Amino acid sequence: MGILFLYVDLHSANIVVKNPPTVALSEIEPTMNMAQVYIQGKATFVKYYEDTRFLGMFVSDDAGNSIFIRAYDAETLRLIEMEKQRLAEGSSEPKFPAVGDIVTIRGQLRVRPDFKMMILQYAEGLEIERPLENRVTIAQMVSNPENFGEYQRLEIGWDENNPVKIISSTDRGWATMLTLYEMASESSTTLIVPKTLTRFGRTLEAKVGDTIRVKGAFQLYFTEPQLWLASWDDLR
Amino acid sequence: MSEDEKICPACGKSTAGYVPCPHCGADPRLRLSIKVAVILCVVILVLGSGFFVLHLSTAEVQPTPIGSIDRWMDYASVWIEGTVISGPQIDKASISFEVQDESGVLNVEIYLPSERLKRENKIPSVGDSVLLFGQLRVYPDGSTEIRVSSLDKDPLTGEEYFQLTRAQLVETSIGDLVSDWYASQSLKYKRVTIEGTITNLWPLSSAKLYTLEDNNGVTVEMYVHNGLGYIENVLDLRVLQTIRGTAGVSAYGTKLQLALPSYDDIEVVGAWAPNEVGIENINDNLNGKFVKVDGQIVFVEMVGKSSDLEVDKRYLWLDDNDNPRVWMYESIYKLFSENLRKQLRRGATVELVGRVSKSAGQFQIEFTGPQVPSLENGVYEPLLIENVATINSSLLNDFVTIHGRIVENSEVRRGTLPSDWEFVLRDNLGENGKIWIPNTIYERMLDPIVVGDNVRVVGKVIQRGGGIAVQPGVPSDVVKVS
Repeated sequence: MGILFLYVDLHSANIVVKNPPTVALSEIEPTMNMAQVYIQGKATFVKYYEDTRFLGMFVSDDAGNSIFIRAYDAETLRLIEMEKQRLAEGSSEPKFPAVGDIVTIRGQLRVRPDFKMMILQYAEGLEIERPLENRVTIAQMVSNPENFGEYQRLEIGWDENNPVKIISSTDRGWATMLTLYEMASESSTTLIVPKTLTRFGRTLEAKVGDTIRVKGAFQLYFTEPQLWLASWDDLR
Repeated sequence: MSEDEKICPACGKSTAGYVPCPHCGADPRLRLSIKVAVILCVVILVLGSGFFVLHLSTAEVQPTPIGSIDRWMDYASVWIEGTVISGPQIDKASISFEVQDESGVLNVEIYLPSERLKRENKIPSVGDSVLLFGQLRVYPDGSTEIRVSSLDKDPLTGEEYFQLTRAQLVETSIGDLVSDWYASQSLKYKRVTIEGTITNLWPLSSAKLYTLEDNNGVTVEMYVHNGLGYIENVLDLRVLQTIRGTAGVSAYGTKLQLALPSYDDIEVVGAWAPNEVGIENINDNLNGKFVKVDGQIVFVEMVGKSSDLEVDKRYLWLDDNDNPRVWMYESIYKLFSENLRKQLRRGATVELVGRVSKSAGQFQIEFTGPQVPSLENGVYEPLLIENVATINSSLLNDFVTIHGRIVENSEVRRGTLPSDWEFVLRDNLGENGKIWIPNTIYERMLDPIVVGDNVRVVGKVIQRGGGIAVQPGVPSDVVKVS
């Protein structure tokens, strides 16, 4: 009877089994260790670790509080498979995170005095909202980088009268760096194509000389503006 | 107690004086009573715990030799002691450098905001000694790293997790430093104060490499990480400024390189004055010297790389094509503001500083950054050649303007890269001439020319495939006309 009750409660009634609470990153403290909670914030670092096959991610809020998110290999693999399937189906709802995404995560907290971490135990516990992009020119990015927020989504090459071309491609191992050149302003910037994207069933087809239109997350590499490619459907 | 009343301490039954116990076979003479055993345990526990606490509280830090780190020590927390031999490379949220002890070299990542480290005077310099506590990472490729994420003190030993002992300064000269490098390397990984003049700049994506030169022409490179801009005001260093600075003596491969840990360690103490000369008067006496020249730009040529569509170098001719050309690497050109880049065109009048050298018997002037040339807008168009058939080898390397209709094109394939293009231009007199456009220029044209277009082309007369052709220097040299 008890098990039956728990089963029904879990799936519908939610009398005893309730959804975990949503906590702000600033509220997380050591007494919450092992707690199941929801958190929300902007992904400011996303890495797929090739050696362990883990996913690592930092999520930050506007006040600068941050937490490290870890998904172990099995769930990371599931996220990769889900993203692969999503791309194959042409869905617009991303399944694998990228820098700049607004993420909502259900997971288990691990809190130490000087470190906050959350384990993403189920791939379905990750919801991703990829913000809408702003259309800009490379010249605007290069001449006034202070006008853009870190990891703000931008789109370049959208103006047919001001095309953007790939003028060089460098393989850095963890990513391919494409130099993008804007014809009208003669300005250039770098597009980072993380190697992780090749796990989603596609490879980089664009080559030197191609005209491209791309959306990406803005970042400053010291003083040099760059864009991070989040997904293959952001590159045309 | 009578024989009948004797109790076996093991099974608790009467032994009736028998040895061993008739019930359990235990020898009652060899047994401790429970009370004695408990007391003994308590005493041992107290002594053991006391010894353990005493040991921990009096133990000194025992640094792990870097050479002893192996695959099994992945994620181990250890103390490391050594000398800083490279860096620091500074990010907003971390700094990194290398530490060497007698047994090896280890990468160090300090995962703390660099601004905080600066505030607490914890930005290391090459030559400094460090003692640090952190977590080791030993990667499958064999590379090792230690990660430090706290400036706290160890609660037992009282030692700070990241301790810096500053290196003593050694006053030297560029000449002595370079001599020492090739002799004994006694100054390697020491902190030195030197004086030199900035004669060149090589911009990297994460750093700038300045060349410092003494009065005898001896040079040394100084590495300045771009991340310094996160924690302090960047000094606006210019070419030919003489600076006095303190930096660590590091190595890039086998090459001597100074590593600057802070702009605070640099002071501008003077400047070299370049010779102001007319560009047409450059001669052997000026070879190797810095000159200030001015003139109207009559032609700009960008030269591409063979591996991609990037521009490698940019050449400028001032006043006449017979004058020594001025050249700069594209990485230097990219340091200019967008406005300045737009102004640095044919027709503009420019004043700049460069170093005279000779290449294939011809003088040339290398524009060495960091500097901002002064520019004034203007217009210049080379001589219009009405009859393109008159363009022959006597005009080789001259700049010309031609006008006509594109009647033919052919592409020259460049492997996986976009092609170079050769066009045939028919002028108003019905004569044909060739235009050669390398892919670096053609792919940058907003509206590339095709057969049937009427065009006006400014270019340099070049020899190509046994014939003569006109090659534009930049995309804007080719203009479609109605």
